[in-house]
Amino acid sequence: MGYGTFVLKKSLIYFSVLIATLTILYIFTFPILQQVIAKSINFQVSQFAQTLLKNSHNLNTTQVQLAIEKYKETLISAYGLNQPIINKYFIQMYNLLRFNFGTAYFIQAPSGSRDVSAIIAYYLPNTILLFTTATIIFIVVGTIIGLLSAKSRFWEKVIAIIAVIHSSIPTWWLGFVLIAALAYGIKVFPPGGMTSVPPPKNPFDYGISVLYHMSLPLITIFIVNVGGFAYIVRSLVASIMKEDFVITAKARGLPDSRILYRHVLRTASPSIATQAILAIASSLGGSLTTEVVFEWPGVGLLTYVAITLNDLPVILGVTYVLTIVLLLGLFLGELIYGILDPRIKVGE
Amino acid sequence: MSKRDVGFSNYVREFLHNKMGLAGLAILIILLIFTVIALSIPAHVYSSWNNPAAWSEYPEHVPPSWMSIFYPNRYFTTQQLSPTNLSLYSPAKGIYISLIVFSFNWTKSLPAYNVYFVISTNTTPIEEVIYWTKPDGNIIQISVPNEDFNVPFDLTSVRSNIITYISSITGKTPNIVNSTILSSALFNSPKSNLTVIEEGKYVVKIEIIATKPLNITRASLLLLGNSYGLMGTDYFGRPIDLGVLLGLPNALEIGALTSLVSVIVGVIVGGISGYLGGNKDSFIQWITLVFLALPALPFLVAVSFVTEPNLELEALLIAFLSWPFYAIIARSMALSIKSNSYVEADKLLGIPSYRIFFTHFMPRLIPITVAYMALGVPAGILLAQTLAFLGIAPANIVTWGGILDAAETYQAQVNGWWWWVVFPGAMIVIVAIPFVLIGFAIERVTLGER
Repeated sequence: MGYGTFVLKKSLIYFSVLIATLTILYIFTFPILQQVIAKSINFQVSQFAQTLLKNSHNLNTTQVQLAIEKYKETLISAYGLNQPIINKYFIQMYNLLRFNFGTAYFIQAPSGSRDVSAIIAYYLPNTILLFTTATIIFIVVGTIIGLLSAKSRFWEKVIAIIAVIHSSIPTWWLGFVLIAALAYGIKVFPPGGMTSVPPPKNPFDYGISVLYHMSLPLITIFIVNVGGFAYIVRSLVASIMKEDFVITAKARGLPDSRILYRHVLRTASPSIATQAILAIASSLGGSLTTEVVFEWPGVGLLTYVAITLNDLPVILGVTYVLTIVLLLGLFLGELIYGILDPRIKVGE
Repeated sequence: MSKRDVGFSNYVREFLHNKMGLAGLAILIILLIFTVIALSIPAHVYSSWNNPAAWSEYPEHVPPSWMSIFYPNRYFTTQQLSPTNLSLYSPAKGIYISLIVFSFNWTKSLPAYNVYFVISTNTTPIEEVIYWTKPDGNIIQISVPNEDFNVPFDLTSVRSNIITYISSITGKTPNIVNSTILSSALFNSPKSNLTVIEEGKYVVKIEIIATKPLNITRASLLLLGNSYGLMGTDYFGRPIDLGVLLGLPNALEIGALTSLVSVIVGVIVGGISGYLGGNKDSFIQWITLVFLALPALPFLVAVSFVTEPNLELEALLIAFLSWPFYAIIARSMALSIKSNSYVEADKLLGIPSYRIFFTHFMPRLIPITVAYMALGVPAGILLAQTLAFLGIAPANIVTWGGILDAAETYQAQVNGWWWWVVFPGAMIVIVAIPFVLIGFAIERVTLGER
């Protein structure tokens, strides 16, 4: 009963957060959103007019004009452009929740479609692949280092130094330097992209190629983020080490490693999960920009290209989609927290 | 554990005994001195940064000059020469001739990176000819095209005569014509087919013929070095060290402003949330989550297309997105303060809750607030520079992220121009480190960690 209600409650909270977050975004991007919708309607109308002129030779010009006008009217009411602002908000919010972001000005998906959601759908999996792998690696390794540092003075010193690095190095700059040194200086790693060109046909070779191209971005994100996370874990563990039950365990003569992994880690894990959620939220921006220097075909690179081309619909679409993705990530973290925290299972 | 003294003067004393904090403070003071220097630079330097024409007299994409310590024969700096002899005469009525002579000794193993002629007169000449005499007496005659009269010009503007000279010596026309090829024609020995440098005394005579009485207002010869300054130059010849200096004030300003606003808002919201508890706490936590879920980078990118942000607005927007992090920390601090018996005691005594908040909570939250203000500065700087790297920055300021964006655009990593990549990014790190050190030091002093 306990975990089920927890999940239900959290789902409701996160859904309301989603609506609120999208509303804030809507308010802040209102002027460009209207502009984007207007342009998108014009684009769709001109496409409609072309197909109409191609396919119907028996219509005269006034009839064609009427049909186009009528089509435009339906589009305008579908996007709520002629409605009062409250209705406009609900209609456009509904469109956003259906991932209807209109058509891009210049950028095309590899399939040739200029539909923003199709473009993002092509690039987003690559970002999720890179970012999720990197996050899992740095959280696991960071937790291990953090626990080790509670035992040894040496690791504690190391952690203090790498934590300073974490808060001061831009991820993308480190990537830039590593590319210059390791990809162009001594040619150990590929300079960028996701696969070798042309991509290998054999699925196994393809996977190897992706892994090879992913290694340097992963190393970059790992170096920057692992220290900060280890530092947080260390301070959590250090505070739990002072608790009475740890002292009792020591008095019972249990070995240090058993105390650390059985007692301390189990107690600290819900807080570690909370901190992991925060780490995900704070490392997202840096990782997105890292895609630009590595030419990794993800939404970060897409955003960069959209900025240089002034492609507003794509920028807006990426912002909305990333908000949803980040919220999903936070929600997943919350669910893991629920599994780790025994109080929730009991239903306290 | 012994009884700890709590109090402002005590914190300061303990902070001053902390090596990390002191190191951070020292670096910060040095940075502030450089900020003052950067602010004393006249405004036109800032505005000319994005104008490539302003930097034409600088060598393009050359490494820092201290490279000559490691490779004494390969790197040298720009040499500016003044005329050794200047004569004016009129051989016939209505014809005025001016002869400017430069002479220099060239002993380097490489030709100059480029040669700049800075000649201006009080009238428009009808002809301008350069006689470049090599140590062995070989003379190259270069006539200056009309459009370059009275404006500084380099070898590429007078390439046609030099190309003719090259083909007369080597028997073929070069495929690529750039300043390096042209300059090596002027500095290499014709005996070696223009491949080996000719050391010795060079004489450069510039003859200007005019129909009106002639006066030379400016005359100098620039032999551009293949290295420049502390940090080299970029693709347009802009000195990186100057760019790094110009970027310092705005980086510090945006970092300080962001951190100040976001930490104060975060601590107040988080503190109140933890203090109140119950439904109000849940509601404030919900709001915090809403703002936490806004992805900072894409949000700022999207908003920058709505309004062109200036520095202050950008800082406020970053603060608007980063306060939840501090609210979460402050809330957990407040929860631990709340569990203390003196708070319970005050409540039982019937002391109004706002007074409990100000007497017990705020004083205990202030040290952590100061620590996070220091730690928040690098976060703000990082985000602002990341935005600049993506091409979004307030107009008319120089940002390190912008310099790195240009480096990415002009493929500095492919061409091996490492100084263009390393120094601006290293500055982001150098500016962040003192704040991180100070923040960690304050955190340790106030929380009494080892």
